[in-house]
Amino acid sequence: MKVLLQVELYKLKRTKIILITTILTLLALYQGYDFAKMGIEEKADEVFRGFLYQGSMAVYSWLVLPLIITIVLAMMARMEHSNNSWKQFLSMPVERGKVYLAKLLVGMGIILYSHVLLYFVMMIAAYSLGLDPIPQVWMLKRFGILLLSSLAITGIVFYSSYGFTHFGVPMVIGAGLAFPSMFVANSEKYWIFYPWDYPIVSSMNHVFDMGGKNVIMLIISISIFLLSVFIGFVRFRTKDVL
Amino acid sequence: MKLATLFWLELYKQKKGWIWLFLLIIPAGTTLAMFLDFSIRYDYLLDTAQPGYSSWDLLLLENHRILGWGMFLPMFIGIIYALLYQVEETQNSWKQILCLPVRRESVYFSKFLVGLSLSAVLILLNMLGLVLVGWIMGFPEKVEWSSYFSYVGKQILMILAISSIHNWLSSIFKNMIIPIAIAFAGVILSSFVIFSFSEGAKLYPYAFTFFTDGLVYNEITEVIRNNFILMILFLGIGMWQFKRKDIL
Repeated sequence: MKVLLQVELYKLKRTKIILITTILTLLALYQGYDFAKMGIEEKADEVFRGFLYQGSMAVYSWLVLPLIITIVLAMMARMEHSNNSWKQFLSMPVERGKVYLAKLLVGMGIILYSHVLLYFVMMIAAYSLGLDPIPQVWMLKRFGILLLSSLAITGIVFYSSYGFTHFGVPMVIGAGLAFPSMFVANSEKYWIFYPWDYPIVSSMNHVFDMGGKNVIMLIISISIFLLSVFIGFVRFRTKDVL
Repeated sequence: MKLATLFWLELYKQKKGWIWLFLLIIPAGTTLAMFLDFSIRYDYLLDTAQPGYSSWDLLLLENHRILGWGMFLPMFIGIIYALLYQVEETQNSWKQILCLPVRRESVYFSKFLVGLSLSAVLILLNMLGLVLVGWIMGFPEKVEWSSYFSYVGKQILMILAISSIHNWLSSIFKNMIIPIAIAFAGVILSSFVIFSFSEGAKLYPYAFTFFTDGLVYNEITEVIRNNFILMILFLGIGMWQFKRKDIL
């Protein structure tokens, strides 16, 4: 298992996955930073929560996070699909279940990296702007909920990138469903049916009313994730290599 | 003559591909979203509308600004071009095509034209979906075909720059996810370029399609000029590079 994880990390070295993730995450911070400067000029209180966090999260949870998930998982699947290296990989003495798990863990690791990166650059931005004490515990809680609520997207995109050899399928699912999410999030009743809204609603609960459904949302998110990973796992074990 | 043949050849190659499904699913999704939106809050939209806007104008603005069609269109165009080039990369069929007695410029230009036509189909289907929503909802006014067709025409005009950029990007990368990732980044950036630097948005190709609604933004001559300049620039760069492409 350890070797398989190392192999996956080794393969990442020559790709631009980490670079793309970093750039997209920093784009989100840029907007928050811009907002925060505006907030300081207006002498508003709670600049950190109201402007820096709110501004970054508005674009991060709406666009950046779903698109990072899509790109990372689709690219990691494409590494094997493109040269059909499944043939070599799976004919070696490796357990298929472990290969699948290693792919999942590394993919989720990069998504987690994006969260951690955003957390730290937000801190740095807050220090450089000289904002009041940063609510660390509150931030950790928000980021944790954000990670859990995005699991549904991760599961669906992960399933589609290994279930189909064409990279277009996960791309279209990931991007096509991210596009109306802000629109659906405006509706108080229907957002619960749309997993792409969960990160938006959970990270910006100043703006969107969760209507006491936050626990239900997390349960749905985690069960979608487990279900799609499990179905993917069953299909992966019986996958033909040719 | 050769160009026309190449054009049909490109479409023929896509016959068994996913691109047709993509061209149908996205407009179907927008139509469904608009239908739900109007069946839930048509009265509210009518109450809060600016005076002088008809139901059709409201529908167009909801689609363009609230749903975000105007902002996300460049992303879909990026995906269309990536799918067009993916056909060659998977089987590495550049070898066969570029060994035929056709000019490389024609091959490159035919890809550009096919992508442009497919994007036009996408835009047209989105508009027809809106008309369908209005018809089902039974809007009191008659269909405003003239403003809807000018909406379609303006969008097709405004995607010229972004199409030539993505034709170029898709032709230089072997990994088709990278041009799509660039399109994603472009759209994310455009969400704040438009609202924070509205002057800069006139030079930023990913934001051009946002100015096509015809109701809020009417001054678009400058954008159209920049659009044409960028299109010619990137077509030139792309052709220059494509002529030097190695095939192996």
